[in-house]
Amino acid sequence: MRESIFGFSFEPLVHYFLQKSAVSSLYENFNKYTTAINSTKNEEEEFSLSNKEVVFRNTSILSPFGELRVEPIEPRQRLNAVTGKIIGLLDANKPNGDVVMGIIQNYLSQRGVRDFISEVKPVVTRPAPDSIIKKLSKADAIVLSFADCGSCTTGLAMDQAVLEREGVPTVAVVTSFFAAHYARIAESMGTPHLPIVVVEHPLGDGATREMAQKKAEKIPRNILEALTFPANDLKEKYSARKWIELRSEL
Amino acid sequence: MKAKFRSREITFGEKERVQEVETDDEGRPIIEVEPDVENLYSKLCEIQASDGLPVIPPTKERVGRMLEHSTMDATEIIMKVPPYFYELTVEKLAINAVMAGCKPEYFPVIIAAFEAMKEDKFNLQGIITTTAVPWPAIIVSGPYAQKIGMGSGYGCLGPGYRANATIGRALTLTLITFAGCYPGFGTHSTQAWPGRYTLCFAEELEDNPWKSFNAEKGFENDTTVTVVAAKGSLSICHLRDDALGWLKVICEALAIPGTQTAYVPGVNCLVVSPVVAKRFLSDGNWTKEEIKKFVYENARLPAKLLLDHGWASARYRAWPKGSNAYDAMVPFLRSPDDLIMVVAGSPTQNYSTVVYTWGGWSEAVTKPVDISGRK
Repeated sequence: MRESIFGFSFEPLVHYFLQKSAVSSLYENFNKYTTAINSTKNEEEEFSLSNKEVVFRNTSILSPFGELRVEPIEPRQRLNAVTGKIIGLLDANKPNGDVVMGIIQNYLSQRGVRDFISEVKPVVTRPAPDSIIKKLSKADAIVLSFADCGSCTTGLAMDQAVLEREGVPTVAVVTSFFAAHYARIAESMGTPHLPIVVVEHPLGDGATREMAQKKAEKIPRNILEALTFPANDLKEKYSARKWIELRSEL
Repeated sequence: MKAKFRSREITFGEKERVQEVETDDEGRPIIEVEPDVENLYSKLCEIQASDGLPVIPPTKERVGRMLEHSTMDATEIIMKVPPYFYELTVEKLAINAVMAGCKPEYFPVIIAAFEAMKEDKFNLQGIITTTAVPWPAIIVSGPYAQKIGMGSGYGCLGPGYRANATIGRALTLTLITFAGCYPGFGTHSTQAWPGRYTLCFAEELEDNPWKSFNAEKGFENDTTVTVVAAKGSLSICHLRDDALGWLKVICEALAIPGTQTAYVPGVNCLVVSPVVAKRFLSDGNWTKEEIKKFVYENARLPAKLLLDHGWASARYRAWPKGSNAYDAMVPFLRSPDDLIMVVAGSPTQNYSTVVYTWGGWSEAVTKPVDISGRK
């Protein structure tokens, strides 16, 4: 809207009088003149408006998010059977860890395991030191137990990923509340289908030895399955990945 | 152009989804936002690009100005940030620093903080994913802190200083927005603590009778950044009129049940006001070393008390040999050097602050600030 120095436009008034008057040629000229002015004004207005749109309406900001750049690998080939094999046992050093690992070890030795390499993590909140990873990677398969809190879940998932990358089939025990977190760490380490056996939380902190024993007695058969299942069945039943989707149902 | 990046859960319990974003001409992911501040804030909260407080939109221009204060290339990788080990480039850090409200000249301090946190002994993946409380706190020591307006005097552990507020916040925002540490998602702290928004302050340089902390660490000519896994603080009011009396109270305040250091002894921080520091010198000529030794020897609790509290059953108890006997005294520090002592606070009053930590599960790390890229 164009405005005169008086604060409002005379234009409609002029239009009205010129149209009504007999001097139509004058009106035509005036019309041409105002159209010319209008078109320049409009172009200017449009230009400044579109400029504003670029600056304000379509503001682009740089994404602050991290991006995952790791090539995922499939789980390692499982064993045909545990009979005659050497099984590595990595205890995460949580309270009741000895109870849970004891039950697993007992079950596996009844299934004919030849020998065990038993290691306990020195610091529960960190990944295992290289020396322990080196000892364990000599085993035919490895059981990691267990993850039931924040930092120990992170550390244990990192350990399992490293051991799978070393080429050893593994399985880990994780409590229900931390399965989704475990799965995300697994995915970030490039091993999205790390096999895990999930136990109802709690198992270590906040659980008595009797509670832990009762829960642990239910899992040895699953541990054996996760170490011996063919690839497709393994993913179907034990992949950590599915716990991200299952989380909302917990 | 469209690019896919690692999904983020928008609300707790929602299923995973891969979010697609546009990229600019150089292939950098960008997000379209509205200019209106309120809508912009809502949008950034919605896509989890905020700590809950409003942020400054990281436009290319603002990020560019931040990058001018670094000697490093924008694409250079500083570290892989847990829990998901995304590669943190200098540019991504600058983006988060802009969002936090940092001035470009703060950027070298933030880079130094990440250089410090990447040390394995700091155990960053443990700190941010634990069900406990810790979060990296930043202590800056040296002339550059004063140059950029960091607070080391009145109320320096609290609000009111842009540099303190936004440098600490830049660290938190990077961990939340960039690294994905949303509560219950990337970070599992049971209750967390307010220091997670920001805990960043400078050491008092002029009104400080002792050797400054950067000099103590061997960086006399540099400004240093020290990161500590802080989990709470307690302000101590010194009512008695003698230095020894004050020290006894400090020891008792430091050695309390329920802290991580009760079962995993380690680093603790002691912030003393300039008046307190001077009083230590005038009343008995206490040096820093003597105070550290005193605190190491006296910040202890009886083993029988802690064993009654249940630390006996915890497999991760890391007491030194000899402390496990029922009638022994358990130290909260592993050695005198575990006490980080800095002078900060107003010049008027007899107050100290103990900053509790995650104990022996994380070591404090000190790094010099590289200001050579500053224009």
